[in-house]
Amino acid sequence: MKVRAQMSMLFHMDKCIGCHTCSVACKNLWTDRDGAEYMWWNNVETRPGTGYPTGWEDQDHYKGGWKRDNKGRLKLTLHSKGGGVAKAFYNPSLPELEDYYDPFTFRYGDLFGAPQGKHQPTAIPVSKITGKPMEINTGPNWDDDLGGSDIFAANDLSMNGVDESVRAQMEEIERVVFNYLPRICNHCLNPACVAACPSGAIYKRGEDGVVLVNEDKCRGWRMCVSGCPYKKVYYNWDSGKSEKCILCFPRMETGQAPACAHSCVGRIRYMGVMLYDADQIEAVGSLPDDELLDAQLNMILDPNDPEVIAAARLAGIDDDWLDAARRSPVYRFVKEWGMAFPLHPEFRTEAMMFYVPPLSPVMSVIEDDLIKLDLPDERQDFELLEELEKARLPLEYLANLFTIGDVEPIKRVLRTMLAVRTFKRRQSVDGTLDDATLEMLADLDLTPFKAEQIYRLTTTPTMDDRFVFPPYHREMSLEELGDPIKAKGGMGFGYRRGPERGA
Amino acid sequence: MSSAKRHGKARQGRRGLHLVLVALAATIAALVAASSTRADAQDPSGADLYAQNCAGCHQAGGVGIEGTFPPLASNPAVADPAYVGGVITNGKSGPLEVLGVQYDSVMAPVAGLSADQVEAISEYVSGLAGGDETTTSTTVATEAPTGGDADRGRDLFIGAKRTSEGTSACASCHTAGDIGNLGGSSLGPDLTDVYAKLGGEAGLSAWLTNPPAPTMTPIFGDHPLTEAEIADLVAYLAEAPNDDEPSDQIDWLLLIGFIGAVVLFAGMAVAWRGMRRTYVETLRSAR
Repeated sequence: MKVRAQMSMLFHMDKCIGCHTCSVACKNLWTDRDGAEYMWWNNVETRPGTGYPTGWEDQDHYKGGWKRDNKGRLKLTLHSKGGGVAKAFYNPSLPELEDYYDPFTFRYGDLFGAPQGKHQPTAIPVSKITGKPMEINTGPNWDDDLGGSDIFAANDLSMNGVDESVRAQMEEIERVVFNYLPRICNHCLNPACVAACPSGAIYKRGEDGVVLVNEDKCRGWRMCVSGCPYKKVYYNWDSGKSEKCILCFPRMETGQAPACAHSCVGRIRYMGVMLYDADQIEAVGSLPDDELLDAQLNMILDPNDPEVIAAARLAGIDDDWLDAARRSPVYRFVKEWGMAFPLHPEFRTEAMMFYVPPLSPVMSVIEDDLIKLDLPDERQDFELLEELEKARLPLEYLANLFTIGDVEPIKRVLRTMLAVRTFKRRQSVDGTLDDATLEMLADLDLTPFKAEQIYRLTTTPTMDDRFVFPPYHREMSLEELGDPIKAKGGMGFGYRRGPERGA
Repeated sequence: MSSAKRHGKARQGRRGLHLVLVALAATIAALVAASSTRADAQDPSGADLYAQNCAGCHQAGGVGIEGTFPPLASNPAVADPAYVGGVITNGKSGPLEVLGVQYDSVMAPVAGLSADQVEAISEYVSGLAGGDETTTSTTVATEAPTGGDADRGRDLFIGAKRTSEGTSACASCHTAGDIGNLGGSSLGPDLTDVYAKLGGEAGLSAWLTNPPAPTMTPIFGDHPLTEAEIADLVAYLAEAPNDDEPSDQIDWLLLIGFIGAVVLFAGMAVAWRGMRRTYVETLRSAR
């Protein structure tokens, strides 16, 4: 057992309202620069949709992530070693700017400088890259802007396996369903971007598992861009280097939550330390699809287990971190309550950001014209549990996103969330717990105490409940490298220095 | 700082410089002495140098090859060492009559010889001028290796076959008749009519045995061609001028290149169809 620590984020999708505050906070902090206009290290996708960049989940086209070959070995989808050399100067699997979007602004001066005339002046859209007038036909969240267009939303790969009649209904006007999928870099345990980089410029740092690009070593081959199945490494056309989400490590090192999590209006984001067994990375990655999800979740170790604690100390993880791991809200959602899954585990990069799948209103789709659910009011709570197949957001769809097509784990999570709701309603509205409610909890392996805990961490968590950061002890590493007094009065970041250019 | 002090310091510096200069001079003198004694000890005699640098054409004992390489033995013109030295360092060309025979060929300057060595050779050669036992040897010298295979020679010439010593192919510097403009190089002279110029088989073989041209000596000096290779090359070069039709290889190359390009682009159009199509374009066109 080789214990390592990972800073993980959890997205409670049931709480996400799709306001994009996280994206804007991230953009203002990190990507408001030349060459980075089109990058959204954090983005929120309106689903169903093809996301950003368009169709990023289609690995037949983009060739991201890992695949299991015939002999059960783990291989990069992008290329073999020889193939990588052959395609060094020509990589057809790269997303192009049109697949992201041409970043635009408006010529606001037109509004003020237009001569007097019959019509109201308009601000012409101009490209932020070329500065020339352009026609806007894609954007960073076009599915939302177009309300689920028949080009984009209809091509959502995660809709595969959803019944045709359900799909037809979902595309009808006034019955369109949305949910929101916030995405950042998954800071994977087995990152394909790291494996694909010919310059060895990308690395997963030891203390907290943040995956970073060394801007001085990056030579702009862009293999990471196609290697990452989540398309979360971006090429900066101005510096000629790749850039990606850094999980706001300068903020975490000073005890602050990353900008996206900190600014989250719906408070859907949780962060905490996860301990995992690094010895299992390759073995888990090469398992067949149906064993992959469980095995990946099993890599995460129990921070209360004395054996794990001993092994962690041996691996140089200090007690502050172990303590933080024991208090981690992400650990509770993922392991204690089994309510969260990584996004697309079939990409085999062992993503370490987790998602609680969202509930949605139930509606019957069996009868063509029926929109409302025809259920007796007094039994509705319990009926809902059994009618999950009729949820407006199809179970198969969520299963394609999080559990490699297996609906059972999704059902269990949705039932748990419904059961907690029912339990709290009985408790606070009726004032008593009837036997049926207790039985329902017991069926889902919940006790009233556990249900109460889930309720509290879901609905009324404080900042300290949501974000549990261990002390990074940067002052210690600083002392090892030099005299910390020299940094006194500085801003802590040193001087800004442009990256070296050229191959 | 006072001027006296500065002066004193400068004088001190100058004295230092003197010491250095003296030491340097002594070192140089010692080195020169050492090198000259070493040179004396190792310098081969004029006869050895002649064998290395001249005997390839002018033959052992300076008998020459009649009609191609003028004899040196019994040749009154070479009695003057200064004349011989001049020819060695500057080369000689143009019509020449020696002992009643007409010669018209080119002798390139002999490269890589020091002034001392030129002098030694000149002394040796001028000693041959009055020689008496040599007049009959010419017939021996014309007995060059025969029976070479022109095809093998061509392979050697264009580099399809390596020489036994691994020297570069003739075509890396020269061209000859049927090699055409594409095959040969224009760095060295065109060898199309070298067979005739050097007086046929005997002359050419002699030349190739120990090529005296300044650029060839360093290459073939330590890595000579074998007799069989020389025979093959001679056989080939003897035929080369016969093939004096203009080369049509360039036309062929153009044609092959054009057809190749068409095939390549057609293949790319088929195999790479939609290779750079963006995902968005795919979605739009599928609609």
